[in-house]
Amino acid sequence: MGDNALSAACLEGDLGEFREIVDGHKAAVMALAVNILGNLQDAEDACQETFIQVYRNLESYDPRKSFKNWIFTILYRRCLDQLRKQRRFQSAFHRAKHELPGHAPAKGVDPGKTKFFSQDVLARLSPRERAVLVLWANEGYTAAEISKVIPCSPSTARVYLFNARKKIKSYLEKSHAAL
Amino acid sequence: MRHSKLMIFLVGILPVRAWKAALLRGHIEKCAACEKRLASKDEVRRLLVQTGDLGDLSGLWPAISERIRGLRPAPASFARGAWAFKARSDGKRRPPFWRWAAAAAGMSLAVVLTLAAVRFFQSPAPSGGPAGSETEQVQIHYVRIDNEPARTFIFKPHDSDVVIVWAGKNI
Repeated sequence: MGDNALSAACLEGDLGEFREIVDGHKAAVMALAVNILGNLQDAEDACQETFIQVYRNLESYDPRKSFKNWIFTILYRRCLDQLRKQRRFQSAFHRAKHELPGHAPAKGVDPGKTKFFSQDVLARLSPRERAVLVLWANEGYTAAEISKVIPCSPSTARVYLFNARKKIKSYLEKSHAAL
Repeated sequence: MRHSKLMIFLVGILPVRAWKAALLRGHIEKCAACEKRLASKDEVRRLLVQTGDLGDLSGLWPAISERIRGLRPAPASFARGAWAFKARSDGKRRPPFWRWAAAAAGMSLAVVLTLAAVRFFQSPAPSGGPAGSETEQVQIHYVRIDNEPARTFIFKPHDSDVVIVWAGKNI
């Protein structure tokens, strides 16, 4: 059954159909979230929130557009929100740490977050550039398709992609030269 | 090779994003030498987390289903965040009735409060005593007990609003 038929069934309150939607998209959604956020726990949270938002807003989905793109757009916004919250938390945490001299930070502040950025280069890219890269490399999206997920013009998406690819290339060249 | 270096540099320094995009679309995406100066899809994929790297994701659905149980998909107008607006036939949006009603109620309240304030500040200060209190205006013209005229006293304690009327037979 296609996504449109599944979403129509969900609107009639069928949770089983929604499970099919989740199962069909969870791997791609999770991969995008992990690549944007950089750790598994945050990515899981973002995925959960995304699918709940998808469920709540099913009726506003425009069947003429790609269902996958719609989910990715919601996820992308979720991830940006989460990163913003993390930044706020980290700045507050650092302020608190400086205001309490001699106070050792609790070891469980960042509890067991499985870091997925094994390569420094991904951490150096902006979340937007990481999202563009994932959509381009993993999903095979063109600049025009990327611009539908990340609210921007195709030209802007093309420039983001260029910047990200250039940064990765120069990193790979440097690390290759170092070896 | 030199031209690709120059092109990549040029894209980097162009000030307007649209010009960069035009150069990317017009040349770099079509030129194999320039493409080599950028990371390929395979190189990028090796750095990114792939769906296969994520392991078992079976825990995702129970967590989601627990949270959506009891929820129903929101109606379209609400889901679009348009709950405060109704679509007009001409495609424009207009505020719903309750927004007009709330605005009118707010305006009425403001007018009433303003009038009350004006009246309060313009009213002349009452003269004398614990003044202005209604107890001052209490008047008893004539009191009879057993069809006989009676003596009447009116007490008003200072710290209370209670008025005590005492009537006694003339002895």
